[in-house]
Amino acid sequence: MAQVRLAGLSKRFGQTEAVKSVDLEVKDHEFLVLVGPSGCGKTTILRMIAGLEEPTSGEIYIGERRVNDLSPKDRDIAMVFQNYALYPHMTLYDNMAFSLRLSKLPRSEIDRRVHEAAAMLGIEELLDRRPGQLSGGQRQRVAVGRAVVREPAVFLMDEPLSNLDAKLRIQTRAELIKLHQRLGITTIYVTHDQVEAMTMGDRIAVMRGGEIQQCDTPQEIFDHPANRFVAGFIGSPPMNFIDATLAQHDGVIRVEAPGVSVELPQETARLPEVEGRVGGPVVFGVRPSDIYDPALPGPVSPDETNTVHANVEVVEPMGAESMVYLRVGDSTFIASLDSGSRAVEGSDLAVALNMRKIHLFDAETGETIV
Amino acid sequence: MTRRALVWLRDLGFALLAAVFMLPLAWTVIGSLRPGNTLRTEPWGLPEALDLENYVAAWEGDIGLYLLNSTVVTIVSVALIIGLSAPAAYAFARLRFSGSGLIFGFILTGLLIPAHAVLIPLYQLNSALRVGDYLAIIGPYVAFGLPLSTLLLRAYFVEVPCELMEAAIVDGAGHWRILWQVFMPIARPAVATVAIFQAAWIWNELPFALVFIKESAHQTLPVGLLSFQGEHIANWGAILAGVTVAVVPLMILYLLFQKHIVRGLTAGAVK
Repeated sequence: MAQVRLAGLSKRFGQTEAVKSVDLEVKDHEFLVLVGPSGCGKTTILRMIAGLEEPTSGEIYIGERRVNDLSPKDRDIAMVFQNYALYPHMTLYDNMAFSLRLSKLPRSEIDRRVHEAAAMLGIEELLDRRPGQLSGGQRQRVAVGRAVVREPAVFLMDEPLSNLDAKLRIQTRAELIKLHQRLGITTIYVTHDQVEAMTMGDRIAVMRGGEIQQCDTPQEIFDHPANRFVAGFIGSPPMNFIDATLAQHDGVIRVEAPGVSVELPQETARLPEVEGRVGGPVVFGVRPSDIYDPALPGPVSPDETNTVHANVEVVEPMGAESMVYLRVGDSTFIASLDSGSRAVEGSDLAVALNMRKIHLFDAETGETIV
Repeated sequence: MTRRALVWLRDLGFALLAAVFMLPLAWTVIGSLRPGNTLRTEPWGLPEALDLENYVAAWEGDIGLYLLNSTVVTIVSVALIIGLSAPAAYAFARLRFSGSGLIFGFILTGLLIPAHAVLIPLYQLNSALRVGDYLAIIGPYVAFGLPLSTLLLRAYFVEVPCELMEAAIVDGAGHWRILWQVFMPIARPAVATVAIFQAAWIWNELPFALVFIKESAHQTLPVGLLSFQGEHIANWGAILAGVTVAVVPLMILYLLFQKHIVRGLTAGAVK
């Protein structure tokens, strides 16, 4: 087992700076998820840790060892690739035993490890087959099995679920979490799917443009995003944003925008970073799950909410809840309302915003104010 | 015209085309089974009985030795061509090194050199180096085979997903092992195609073999068959028997490799 530490890690491809001086520490046994949109540099970081890509500058440590100059096989890592990368001409047994044979392990030890991993992943009866004879889910298990047999210090996983259908993805997600709980191997997992990141990671590092925007626990990132990008990227449906102004009337600070005028709670309004921006532009953010139909009993008392009048544009029933697209002034909000809501397409609806959960961002930099 | 008639016409066209290709082969086999003297008088006749006297004559004319020589030269040449072009193709397809495009282009210029243009220089080179008969033809065969083989194998290797190589690297394999244990088994269709192309060319090659081989005991089939034809008289029956014997190994080779050419092996590698 080992922790992984990146210090000032950068990677440049020609004129493009794919990774910009990233510092990151992944603790021993931790499941860390690198998440971000395509091209944000997350896979490049993983490939540099694996030794498949050479850093332009910076250091990579696995355990206490600096591994920059070590070949991939000497880094004590195992990698699961997005498209599984199974050797098509070999049986599953040979696929899983390939690295062990190269390490010159005794045949009995290879046999033990392959059968143990196969039993753990439920693919023991498939060991004589070739990858072409398997379903996508089975191939994915073999790819994981090939990594497991090596008993590495660190697992590196590059979007291993992205080729599975939605149902299988949810199932396999849970299996990977169980596998991590059982083996406790430090894991760095790359995905662009924020739901995967939220559900799997002990911590999440959200990336954009080659930089880590925020690295924290899923709940902390959800509740206290570092900036507008993180707030918009984490959470589904995404957070609603509206360009607004902070205005002060009779000692009360309000967020004002076309169709919106809501009062900030006292403890928020008293914060110096808020008071100092009165009269200036801000970006107001509220998550769809923090918008309620006041006619229904909600988890928040009415004095903690502010009402906004909206026009219902679209209602998407999801069963337990409905995604409701609301027109407020010249903006559109998405609200995740209880399915008992009276929202009807084309009608007017007063919705309540949970003011304890609202967010304010700097209009220029996007940095979080509250 | 109905669709059915069109299909019928198409099939008829294919059958005619097949007959055009099959006719010389059938005539050769039939001719080899007829007594030599009847071939001149009645070239299109069918044999009245199976007569193997032409095969006996061919055997007595050392066709067995020529067959052995051709087999050795072809196997060694094709093995060398694949053994040398595969690492080159892998390097051009998968490794990043400066001048790669230039060197690849230089190798491909080999495709533009006509064999006849280098016949005399190569003869002089062989004489100067005093190489043996086998080496004298295997060397040029390999040299002339490399550009096309490298081109074909490189094209195939480029299509092999990068992740397969990277997975092998992470598993601890070096490039040499990746080439022979991962890429080559996957590239069996391409290797089979290269082997057939090169084997057919080398098996039938005449100018190099005629000019470079000095000892008659080292002659390959095409040169050996020439010895059945005298200045004024030719034993056509024996020649046809020799040609039939010469064609059979190539046909077997093709039948053996055909399924590899047709079948792609990458199914299931990714996604």
